Amino acid sequence: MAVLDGVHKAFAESTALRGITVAIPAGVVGLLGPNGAGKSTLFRLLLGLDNADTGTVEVLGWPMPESAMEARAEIGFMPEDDSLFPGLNGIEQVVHAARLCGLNHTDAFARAHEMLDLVGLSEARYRAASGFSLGMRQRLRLAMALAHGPRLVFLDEPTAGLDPPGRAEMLALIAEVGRAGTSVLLSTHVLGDVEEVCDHVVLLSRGQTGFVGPMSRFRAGSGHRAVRPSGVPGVPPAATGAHHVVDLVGDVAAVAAALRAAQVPVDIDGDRIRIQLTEGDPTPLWRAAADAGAGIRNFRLEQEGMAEAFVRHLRLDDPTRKAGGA
Amino acid sequence: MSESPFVRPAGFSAWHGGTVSEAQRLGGLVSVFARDLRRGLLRTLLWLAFALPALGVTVYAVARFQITAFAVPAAEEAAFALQTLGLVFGINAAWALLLQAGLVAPTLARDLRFGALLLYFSRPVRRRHYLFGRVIAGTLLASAGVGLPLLGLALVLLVGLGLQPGGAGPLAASWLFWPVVFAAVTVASLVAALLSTVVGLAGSVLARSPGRVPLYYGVLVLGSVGMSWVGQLIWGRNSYARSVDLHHGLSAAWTLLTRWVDTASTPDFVLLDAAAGLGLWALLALVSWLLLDRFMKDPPLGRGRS
Repeated sequence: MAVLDGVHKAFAESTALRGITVAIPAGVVGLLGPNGAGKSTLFRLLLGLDNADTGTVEVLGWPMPESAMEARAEIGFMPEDDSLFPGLNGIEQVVHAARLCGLNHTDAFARAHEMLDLVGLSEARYRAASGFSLGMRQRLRLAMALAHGPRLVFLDEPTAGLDPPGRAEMLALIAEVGRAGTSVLLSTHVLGDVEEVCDHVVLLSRGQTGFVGPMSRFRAGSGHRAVRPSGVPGVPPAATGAHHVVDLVGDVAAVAAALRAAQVPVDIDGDRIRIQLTEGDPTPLWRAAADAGAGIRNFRLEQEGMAEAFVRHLRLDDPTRKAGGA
Repeated sequence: MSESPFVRPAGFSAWHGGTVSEAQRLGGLVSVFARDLRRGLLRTLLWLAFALPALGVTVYAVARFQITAFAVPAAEEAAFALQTLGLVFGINAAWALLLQAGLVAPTLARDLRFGALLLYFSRPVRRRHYLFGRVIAGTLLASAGVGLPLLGLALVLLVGLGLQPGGAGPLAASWLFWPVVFAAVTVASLVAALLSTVVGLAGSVLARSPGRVPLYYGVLVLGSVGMSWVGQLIWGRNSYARSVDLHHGLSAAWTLLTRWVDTASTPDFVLLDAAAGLGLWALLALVSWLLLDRFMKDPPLGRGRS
């Protein structure tokens, strides 16, 4: 849905994007990154609000910012700021947003009613929007972003400041929009939001892409099939290249030594060992345990949390760490 | 139907209808801006702005007619009509300035404060169209405030003078005079409203805060009036120091348009004085437009956050 090729963008005080090349796929995509990673600058370039210093930006096939007017007619945008059109009530906000995108007055009203129903603001549609609560304003902004039926929606921190029910409601709406076939680029600091609704992840770090790919590959281990605990006869399946956690009963050191002898990387933590099965075959573990007279109490795939994955991808992208590690 | 309890039963569906042209979108922008201007807390002020001049005009016209209408010699009726309209134009120009300062000028600053510029420019809205929309809406409002009561008064004068049997002088009775008066009222009102709107919106760019814009505008206008008075104290009432008065200058287009009739009371000094006043407004408006144009090239939309 969007392609950036060698995009570099610098401001007077800082460099926001450092020659990034990324193809953002269709679907619900999470845009992650710490503060200062360049997420807002990326949004501005995708909306044609800024020119890239070098490189090209294409959104829905439209070169930006040259074809920004055409592209924006097919894009919905919900800004992070608490932005509203001053002086308008709920339905007028959505009607105005739709009319700015080219709907005529009648269609804009019909569509505004639909969108306010969708986001649960039908009761408040004739109230002044300035009197809405934060959660209501967020939902109103989502309705405004969706009113003209965009093919692609940019959502900048849509759950910021929401309480847990409000967040759940917003995520449900985003998932609903994604299911209806509208692509979504969701920028957020809340990793749980991305985990809950996104199919793909784009991680920015210091103006570069730290990770681009499906959600299943973002967390180490999350792309592998879950493995049942042992206790059944025979050797259970394991995942190639993934880390596994094994809880042992007996001589843990002897098991670890046998595994190392079989070229299997091992970390020991009390009665627990962590092994990486490069071939996906856990037979060496079973053999080592049998030779050492130890029992396997639990054998499972190690799955990384979102926060750990986020930090790991940031570190992988950290040039100072690479230099330090060399 | 959605699986989530949060999503309403109708669910989300894409829109596949048609869209209107860019010119029609600009029209929609103007209509929203114009509606915005007559809303909110300032609605009362707006109605006062129309009601009080209308009331003033009525009282003035009735009183003036009762006392002097039939005393005006036929040959001077045209000049009398234009002087009367010119006097009321000056009063209405003051109302127009109040309208500009209180309602029109802060609109851009309000959009800045509410983050609405980002909402506009992230949609298919050209920045110049936004500016045109604001200027057109402000001009329509202010010109209505100035011109509508005047058109009403012109109608009263037409009935009282032009259509009285045997009561009209040769010029006032001519078929050309009254249409030109109506046209002059319209054009002069639009010129005054357009110039004061552009200058007012530039105040938004300078002040950035909707609360401070009326102050900036007030300081500009009252400052010019004060300077003019000081100048007139030094160089005399009929000196070109009058041209510095921005309130006075707002009526300049009317003076220039009607001089061809009102020759008795508008000597060359008045003509030049009006031209200078209009020139001052035009210069201010030009500088303001350049300021607005420059601002619109890179308006603050929250850049720098990440």
